[in-house]
Amino acid sequence: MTLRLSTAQMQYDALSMMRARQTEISKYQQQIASGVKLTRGADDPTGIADVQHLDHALASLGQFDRNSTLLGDRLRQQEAALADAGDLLQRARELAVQAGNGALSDSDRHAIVVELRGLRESMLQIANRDDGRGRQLFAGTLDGVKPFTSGAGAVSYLGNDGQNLVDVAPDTALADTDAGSRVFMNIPTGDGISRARAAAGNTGSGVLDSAQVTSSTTWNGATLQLRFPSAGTYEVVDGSGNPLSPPVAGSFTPGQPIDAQGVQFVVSGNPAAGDSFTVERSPNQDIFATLQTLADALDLPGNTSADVAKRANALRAGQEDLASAQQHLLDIRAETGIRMNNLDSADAMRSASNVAMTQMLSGLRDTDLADAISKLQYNMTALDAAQRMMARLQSSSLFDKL
Amino acid sequence: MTSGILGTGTSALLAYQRALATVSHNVANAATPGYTRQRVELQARPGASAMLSIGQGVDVKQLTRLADGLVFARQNDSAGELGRLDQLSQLASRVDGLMSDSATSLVDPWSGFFNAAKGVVADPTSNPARSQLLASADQLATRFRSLDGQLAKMDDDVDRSMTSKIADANRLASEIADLNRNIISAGGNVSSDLLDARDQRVRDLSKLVGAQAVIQDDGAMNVFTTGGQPLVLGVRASSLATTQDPYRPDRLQLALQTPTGAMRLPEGTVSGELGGLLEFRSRILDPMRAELGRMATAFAQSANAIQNAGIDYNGNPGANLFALTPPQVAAHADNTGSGSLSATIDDVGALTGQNLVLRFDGSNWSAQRADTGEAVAMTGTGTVADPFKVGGMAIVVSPGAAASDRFLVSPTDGAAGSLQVAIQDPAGIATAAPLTSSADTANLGDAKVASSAITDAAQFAGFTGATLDFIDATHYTIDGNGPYTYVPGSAITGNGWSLTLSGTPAAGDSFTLGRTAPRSSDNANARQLAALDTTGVLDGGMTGLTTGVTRLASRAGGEASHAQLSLQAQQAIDDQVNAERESLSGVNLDEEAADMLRYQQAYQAAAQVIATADTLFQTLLSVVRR
Repeated sequence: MTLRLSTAQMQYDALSMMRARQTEISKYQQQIASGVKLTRGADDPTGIADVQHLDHALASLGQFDRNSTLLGDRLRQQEAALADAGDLLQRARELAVQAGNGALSDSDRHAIVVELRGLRESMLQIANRDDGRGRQLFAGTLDGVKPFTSGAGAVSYLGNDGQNLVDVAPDTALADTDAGSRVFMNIPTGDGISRARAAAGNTGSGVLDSAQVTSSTTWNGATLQLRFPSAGTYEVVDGSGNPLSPPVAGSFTPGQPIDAQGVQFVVSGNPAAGDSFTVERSPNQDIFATLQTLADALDLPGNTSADVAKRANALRAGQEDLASAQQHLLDIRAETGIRMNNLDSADAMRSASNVAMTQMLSGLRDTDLADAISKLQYNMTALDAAQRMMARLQSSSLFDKL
Repeated sequence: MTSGILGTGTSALLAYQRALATVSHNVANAATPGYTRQRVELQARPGASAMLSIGQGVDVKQLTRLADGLVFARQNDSAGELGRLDQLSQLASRVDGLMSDSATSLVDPWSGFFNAAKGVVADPTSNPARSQLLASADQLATRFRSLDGQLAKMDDDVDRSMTSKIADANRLASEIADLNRNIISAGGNVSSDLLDARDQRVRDLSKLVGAQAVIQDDGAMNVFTTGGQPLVLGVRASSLATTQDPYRPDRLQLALQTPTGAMRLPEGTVSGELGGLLEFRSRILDPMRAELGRMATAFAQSANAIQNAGIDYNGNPGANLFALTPPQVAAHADNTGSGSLSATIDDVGALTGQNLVLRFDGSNWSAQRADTGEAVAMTGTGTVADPFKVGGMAIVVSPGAAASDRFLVSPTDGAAGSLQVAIQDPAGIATAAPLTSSADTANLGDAKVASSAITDAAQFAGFTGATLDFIDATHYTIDGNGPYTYVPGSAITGNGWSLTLSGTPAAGDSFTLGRTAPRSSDNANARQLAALDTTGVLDGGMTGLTTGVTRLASRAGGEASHAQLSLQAQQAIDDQVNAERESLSGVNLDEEAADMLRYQQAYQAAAQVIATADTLFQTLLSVVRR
């Protein structure tokens, strides 16, 4: 095909080639200088949506880091509080063992009682700790109130039972600090399943050595009372005072095991007529009441066998309750430890996500320097050649030769 | 005889003089745009006598203008398309820049808001964290408003551009009509340069509007739009004008002035830059604005719903976090009745952002899509108790509409421009779930209250507490009322509240429900807000809001990329057509130089012929002189 070229067309062709090269050069210069090749959606319409998604996800990861730090602080403080509370209880148990020494005088015992009451105060302070930022650790989800107050000989809980979940990674939420009601108020007594008590009005010197559940299915959580209608006879009745069927009764010898409906009582000493010992499903009791009850019982003066028996019974019950409370705090402490472990896992996961996402983002958005530089070189060479050619062609026309 | 030679020589001199003049005219205009080169056609003059017919010289038969009408038509087409795609590409690229540049796009404030929400989840009672949430909500609302404002400005730019291009087009049309007059009156001797001038104007007009030219027998060129409307008929030029859009008095539409009034030109009938403007407005700008509004509406409505379901720091049900204007209703300018419509957003998941036209035929209302006219199904009767439900909106009709009245309902257009934060007090953020619950210690099942929400703030105002008792695993009572059937996983509703359980309740289980007190640090509702960016909210619950927001950039980028590629392709076509035209009509200086040499030599030879004829005559005279 013979295409006749006019002079204007030749000029236009050369010029448009040069313009195209210059546009390319400018584009690659921009990419190299800024390091970014995806600035406009038009460069990569699906890529720009991915880039924006990734930017948003990376920003969230940063916020999750901050959330994780905050939660970690609070959980660490909870753990420290639980450790301190556990130490207090350990000291209380030591004191209880000390108080079991029959050779102590009233004033010696009183010194122990004073320390026990001091432990109760320290426990109250631990329960009212805050996290250093103005928020209580153990108030549940109520803000601006000290959760534990002591008055009229008992501690009341003013917080609530709530526990927040805090998001620390995409699809990962961990529990915040536990409610004070769970940690300090609703603690199982006895051995966690059953509790045995001597009646407060006992006048004899009977000491309940043990009241164990031998068969939990037979016992079935019933309340059983071991009564002494006379000093030498006993009978076991249920919670409403009715005899069991088959009835359990007979003459009493101290130290003799008495089995009734899956429970075995062992009572030593000499119970008086009208004394009784009760076994029931263990209720919950707050730690402050436990310490208080023990302290009050040990503070009773007197050296009669009845007084000694009273104190012995109270000591046995108190030690059981303290052990149960210590276990309860250890359990919560273990849970807190697990949560802190989960926090660490979430941290690791976030780091890995961060690396992966940053890489993806870079692949989509950043300039491949080697590629861009080589394209820039190519275009500059081509522009140079085009410019020379244009200069050469300009000077050749027949009119010049005439 | 001598007169014969003399006559021949003279004719040659005259002819070659004209030829040289033409060559110099070509050379002078080698760089003139739109110039068509001219060439003399030489013809030998035949001899007079029948017997020995010796030719009598040379005549200039005609002055040929080397132009091809077919190439001219293709040039017009290409110029129109190029103009259209150029406008489209420029404007689409501006929209693309807005949506994808990180300084103007939504992504940074979006991340800022949700990060602040996550911060409130971790520390719900912290005043700085709550204040940060309000501040970032304000930044996000401001960014939505500014994006909408930029798009609105582009809308104004389109109107302004249209007005100025119409003025240009009208000027060109009247110039073409004048040239037609001159060309008709010149008849067969029309100057090539006049024709060139007319061709140039038709090309320019085509670039503006998209034109097709038809040559008439009398030499006039009639110019039509691509849709067939006449722009220039002989010596009369029509003028383009603007009319108000019948639904929106602030928007201009393209129209043709006819003796009976302005006739609106539908979009497909014009090409060129005006066609590009109109196409940009209807295909890229309006949908983008509606989509931006849809995102703003979905986000604001969902955030407000979450606020309303929870309790704030003062113990009150949460107030709306954002304020937004409701869908706009515009009556057609020709409506005769006095009826009106009011629309509210009813179902965010069903929101499409499509503008709808609601027509009244005298007894029934029907809905169509505003852009395609396709019918859209509508449920309801239009009363307050039973509004029309269509496209995610609830529409209430107030009576008085006359038959064939029409209304344009824009559900989300401009919503983004009205987004405002409605809460100033950080304590007003509803982070807490409204109900507190405690499971009875004697419960045998493992059910717990997983979440709760306020469904009606007015009814909830009187709530002080309730007891939820399970008669068995599938029946429950509330404060003794019931029994109601419990379906695991679905909500249990009360007077203004609802809750969901996790785990399985057993017979005899009981829960005491209380009202969340003021100064609660519960964060259950705050977690809902923080998770809003990934919750399925749009398109019937399938698409999350972040996906929707990133799609704005993707869509704008796709349109811009498409327009750019089309422009590049059309540019290649245009270059090809222009090359063809140049190949036929363009001046090649080397060629003209060669021609000049040729005619110059011929002229010199002809002058020599006359000298020879004179010598012959002198010889003859000297023979007969005595």
